[in-house]
Amino acid sequence: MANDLTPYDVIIRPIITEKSTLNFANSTYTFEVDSRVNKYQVRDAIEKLYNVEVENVRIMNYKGKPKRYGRSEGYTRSFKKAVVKLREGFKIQEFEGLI
Amino acid sequence: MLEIIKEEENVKTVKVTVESEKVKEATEKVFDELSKNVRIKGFRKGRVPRNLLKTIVGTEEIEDMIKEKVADMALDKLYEDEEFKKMNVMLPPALVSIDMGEDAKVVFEIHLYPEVEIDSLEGEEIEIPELKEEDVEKDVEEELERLREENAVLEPKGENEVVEEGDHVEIEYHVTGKEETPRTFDFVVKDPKSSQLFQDILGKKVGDTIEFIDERDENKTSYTMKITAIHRRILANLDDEFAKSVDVEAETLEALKQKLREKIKGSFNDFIKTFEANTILNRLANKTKLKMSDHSLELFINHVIMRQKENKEYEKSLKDFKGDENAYKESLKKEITNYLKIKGAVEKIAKEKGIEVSEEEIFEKAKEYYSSMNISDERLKVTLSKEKELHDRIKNDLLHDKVAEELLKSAKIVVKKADEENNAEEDKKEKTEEEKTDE
Repeated sequence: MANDLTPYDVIIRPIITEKSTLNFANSTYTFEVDSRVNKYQVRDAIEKLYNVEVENVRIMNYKGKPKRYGRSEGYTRSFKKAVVKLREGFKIQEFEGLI
Repeated sequence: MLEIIKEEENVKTVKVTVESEKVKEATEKVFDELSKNVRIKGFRKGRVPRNLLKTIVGTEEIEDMIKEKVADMALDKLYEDEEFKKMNVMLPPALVSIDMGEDAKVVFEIHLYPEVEIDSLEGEEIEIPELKEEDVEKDVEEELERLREENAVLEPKGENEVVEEGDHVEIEYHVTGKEETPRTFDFVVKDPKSSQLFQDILGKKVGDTIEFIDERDENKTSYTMKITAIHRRILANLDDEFAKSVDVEAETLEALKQKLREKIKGSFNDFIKTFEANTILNRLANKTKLKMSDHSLELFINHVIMRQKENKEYEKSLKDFKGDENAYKESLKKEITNYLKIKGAVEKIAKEKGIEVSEEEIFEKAKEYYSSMNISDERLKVTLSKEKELHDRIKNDLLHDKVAEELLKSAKIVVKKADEENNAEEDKKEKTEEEKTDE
């Protein structure tokens, strides 16, 4: 059940790309999250894990793309991405050293 | 600006300061190169943030890269320094440490050619071999015999006649079992004991074939040879006619012999000149002391080995010592010490006695070296100005010759009679035999 998930289960990994690092300046961070969770669970998890206050969360689902490896066919994995904007004055210190 | 912080024997330790702007420049360069080469998913080439690069590549690794760049900058600065240019540098500067403050302080060890102390060579005695008249005559006879062989007249042998020692043979050959256009070859059949081919070919007639396996070849290739012609070699009589045929300037056999005598004596004199020069320079090395640290010598040996490895010559050199690296290093040590002693002593003597080598002398010597290559004077001058190594090598050779000549003036040249030499050798033999029997 999605309600039983701990913050560590909700947040799978931060997504560090050129675009996401550019948003660090606006206190906006991107994460891959469990595909069963909603934006409120992401908000709670981030607030608990990093001791910050979240202003809003935008969620998007990435559907796996068909992929062919020689004779075998399949799909890349699907995942859920959450873009978290923090209230003014808050920052996630763990990401500060990256840029 | 160069700061000398320590001087010990032939080693100077110097500190070079690289300004903060240059250090920043080096840091920028390292990050530029890294971001161009490091591929990280989610980032375009060159767009990876520096801190992320540090996390991925490693802070220490990046610092090492920056240090390397700073060391290169310091080395460039060192090479441009006027004080350094005046130094008689023996090896490339060795990096000791880099202190990365705001300004980077780079410390190098500079190994200079060592100073030398020379004991007097005054009255040094050099023994040279004697050229006996009978030896000259023997050489003249041998040379005449060689000329006779070289100018032999070839007379075809009959169909039923066989190959004999001393005959000239023409053959056609091809690799056995391979269909190819036969190649031709001709030679004189010499002592059958000296080659299997001579043994096999003796007694064969024109049209006969023989199989020959080339033992010197790794694949032991087999050749099929067919004799196409056999010639008897007729040697000319040693007379005035023969003398005229081999040398247009010689009217008689006696004139030819006289010319050969002069040539042999000339070659012997040239040999003696080189022998005297080499002997006096070796004596000079024995009388010379180097003011050099063991560390410097060890670095020199390693530098030579590194160069040999780069040129893929090391394995070859090691073969002569049956793969024993220590024995090879020991021999290199002796060779390098001797080289440094002679070089240092020659330069010191040249300076003291005001011996110099002019550019004209270098040019004339180079002309002598390249006389067989038909190089124009203009081109040779350009080559000499472009190739500093060649220029310096010739200059060095000339300086050695001049100093040797100067030293030989005060040396005592003693002609060692051939009989004395033989007696000395016999005495030596007797002594060793006596020692053996004593044992």
